Amino acid sequence: MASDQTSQTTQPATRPARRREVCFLIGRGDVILWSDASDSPVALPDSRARWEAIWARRADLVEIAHSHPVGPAAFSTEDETTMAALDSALGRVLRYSVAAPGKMIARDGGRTFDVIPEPWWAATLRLASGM
Amino acid sequence: MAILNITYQGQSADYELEIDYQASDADVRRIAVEVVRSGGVRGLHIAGLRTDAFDGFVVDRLRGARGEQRIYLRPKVPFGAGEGAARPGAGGAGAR
Repeated sequence: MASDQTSQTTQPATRPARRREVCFLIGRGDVILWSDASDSPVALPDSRARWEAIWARRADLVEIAHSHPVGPAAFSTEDETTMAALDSALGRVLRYSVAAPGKMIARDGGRTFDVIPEPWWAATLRLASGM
Repeated sequence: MAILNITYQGQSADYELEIDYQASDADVRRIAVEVVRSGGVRGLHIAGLRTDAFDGFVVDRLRGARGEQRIYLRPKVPFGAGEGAARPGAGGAGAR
């Protein structure tokens, strides 16, 4: 009996989800066109597969969203330089967003703002990110 | 020797003249600026292209379907909070 009580108090019923950064490609009508994930809570490394997915879906692509599961709710320097490179390659300015714990921001037309209300897929993005 | 493919301003095109497969990434970017300025890439002629136009681009060296050597110049696509913002709970509204 004592060992049962010890077991219940030291082991959680479910293991917390591992936090990792996740990327969604979003199309018209808030459709998730493609996604990938990293093994890190603070980085989504460069990926030719991600670029090929973006290029192949460019006609339908509206937004690129990714998560910062440990914050911040801001675009990093890496994000900023990647967004600039993507816009110059695609020849148009995409919408970008970051989902952090408790807050989502977006960049659209050069303006950065809080996303309220959030799209339906923001909850899925957070869940996949272990938030 | 290799074929250089450049993706820029919504166009993806091959540079018809072959370049050294072992050219450095910096050389590939420099060559790309010159060929786009000169109109050497079909459908992609920008005479006033900035010297740093491809600074945010990466170079992939791959084999084509027939085994030919191809160099792809494409935008980088990493994202991430970065190690500098890696403190758990820092910055996010959920940390309050």
